Amino acid sequence: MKNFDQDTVKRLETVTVIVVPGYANLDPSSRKQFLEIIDEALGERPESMRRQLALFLKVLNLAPYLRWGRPLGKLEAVDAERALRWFQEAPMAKLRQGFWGLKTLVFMGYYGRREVWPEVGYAPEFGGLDV
Amino acid sequence: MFEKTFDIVIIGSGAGGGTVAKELAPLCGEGIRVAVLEWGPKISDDEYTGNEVDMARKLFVDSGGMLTKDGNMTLAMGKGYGGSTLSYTGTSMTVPKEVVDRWAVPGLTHGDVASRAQKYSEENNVHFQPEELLNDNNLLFQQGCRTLGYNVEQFPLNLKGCKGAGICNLGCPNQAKQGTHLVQLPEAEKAGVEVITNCLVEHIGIQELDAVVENAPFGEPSTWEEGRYRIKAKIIVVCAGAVHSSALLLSSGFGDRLPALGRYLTLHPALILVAEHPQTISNFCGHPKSFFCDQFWRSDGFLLESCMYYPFITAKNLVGFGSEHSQLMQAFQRLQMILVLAVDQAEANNRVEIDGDGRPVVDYTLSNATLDSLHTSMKAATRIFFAAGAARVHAPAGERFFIEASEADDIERLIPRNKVVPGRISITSAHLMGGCRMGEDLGTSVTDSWGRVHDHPGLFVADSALLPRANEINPYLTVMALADRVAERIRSDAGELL
Repeated sequence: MKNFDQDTVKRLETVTVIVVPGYANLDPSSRKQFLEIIDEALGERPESMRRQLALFLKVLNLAPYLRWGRPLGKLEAVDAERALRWFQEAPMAKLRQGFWGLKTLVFMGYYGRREVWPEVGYAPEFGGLDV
Repeated sequence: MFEKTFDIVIIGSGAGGGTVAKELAPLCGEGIRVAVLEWGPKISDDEYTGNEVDMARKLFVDSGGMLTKDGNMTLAMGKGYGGSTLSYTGTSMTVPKEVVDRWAVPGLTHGDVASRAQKYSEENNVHFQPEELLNDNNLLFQQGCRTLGYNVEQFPLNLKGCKGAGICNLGCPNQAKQGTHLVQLPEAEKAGVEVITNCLVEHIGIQELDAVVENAPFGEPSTWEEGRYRIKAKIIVVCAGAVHSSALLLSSGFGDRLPALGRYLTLHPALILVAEHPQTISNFCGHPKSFFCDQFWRSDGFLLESCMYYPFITAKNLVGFGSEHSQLMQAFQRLQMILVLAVDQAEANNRVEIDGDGRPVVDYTLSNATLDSLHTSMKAATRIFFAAGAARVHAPAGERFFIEASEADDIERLIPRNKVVPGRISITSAHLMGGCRMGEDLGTSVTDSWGRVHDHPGLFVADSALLPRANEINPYLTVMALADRVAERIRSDAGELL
């Protein structure tokens, strides 16, 4: 990725597996596609937004220390989900929005791939009703 | 810097700009030079891939990901030869009389708007699709509404040769939607109007403007060489959409004498709601938007519309993540969807501003009244889903990810108001309106009822920015009708202005 360093990519993937569990089963080329889509989207955004996202990923990763004494990536699945859910429902708007934005990026990378269509049963045809 | 001279320059080529271009095209026969400057490129037929991420980049400003200043809403604004008419669904509604009455613009009557809307209904082949072409997703919406006794009506659509690809919002790969890119712009060009694509106008001065031509990495290259241009024009018509028309005028300094410029923006805040049926239904194949329900329009300030979206858009509109989210996504062939469209009030503090670089910033606050409407709409849509036979429903403000059919009697408790929290649920602007509203008072309006900017005889606005309040239904036909009025005014003033 051009817009995130390796540590940030790792944090992104840690969150991604919780948000879309299917990510764990993707082969390396599909993961590359996932990251390319996100990278391109990040490239269209201002540098300040990319920095904020990278920082937010750090916060997401470290925040669970406060409750579980471990980072997000070392939590049991149920606790990891609980940790992210706290951000989704957070009382502070900035935290909710940050999580929403990150989740949107993850969904874009995962569900924006044409290769995911068979997995979800989406099979559009330009010929539509004729087909 | 290159220099060009025209008599009339139209900025933007969507429902507003395309209409003005066609209506002014006959003037070319009298030797009057007319140009359309369009920010985006002309997309070739073979570039409509149907891929969400790819088409979002090609058809929308910032790939459709622009946010309001507070980060609580996304704003999708089209660009390209045809503007937003490339990416709408073609729903062609005439604005109701009571809405035009609420606008209360002196000199503007419903009869006038309706007769012009009728003209474009005919010109753009607006009709009802026959029932045999409607898919289950649409018919289930109709069935659910009827079961509950809710008023439900069919959308008139501007289609010709629709094959039901089902991806209207990603641009029709079959060129069936009769947008300005297929109807008004080609006719204008044929009559002598020059359309320059990949051309971004950065500043409007007195009878001149500055623009830059830079080709996009897709679409056809501009007919003009890349570079900066100073373009002289005696008449300038701004049709860059509610946000960019306002921003362009603000960054050009017109805000000093027009205090209402950029203000009274309305966005038709929208939600996408999803339900799962026990059996496979036809949903992504066929036109996505056949019916609307206006049962709650007057009482609760929202409309419900049948709709169907694509995997990424669907995924991002669900509140939640993890296994439940994935489960629902994998049931794509069993999903029914409803779009909520809230009617927001025009408030002066909801407005377009500009940042230090002259780019638009949308300062918009979701009011409690709008959040109440969205809350009520979720409950109403959930009832419609269950009345149509859904097994379970995902309500963004639900206590749980799924509400099961067996819990249908408990909707009031399961969808609490306190979960309708901005930043938690995905809220998108369905239609952007206002910012250069029509009126008489210089303090509360920007143009007169014919789109002429107050105290600037050669400067006009002719797009959704003119709307003084929300259109309260899908607005593109209204925009064309208002643009038609503006063009009429320009024609009648041409002798004096040119």
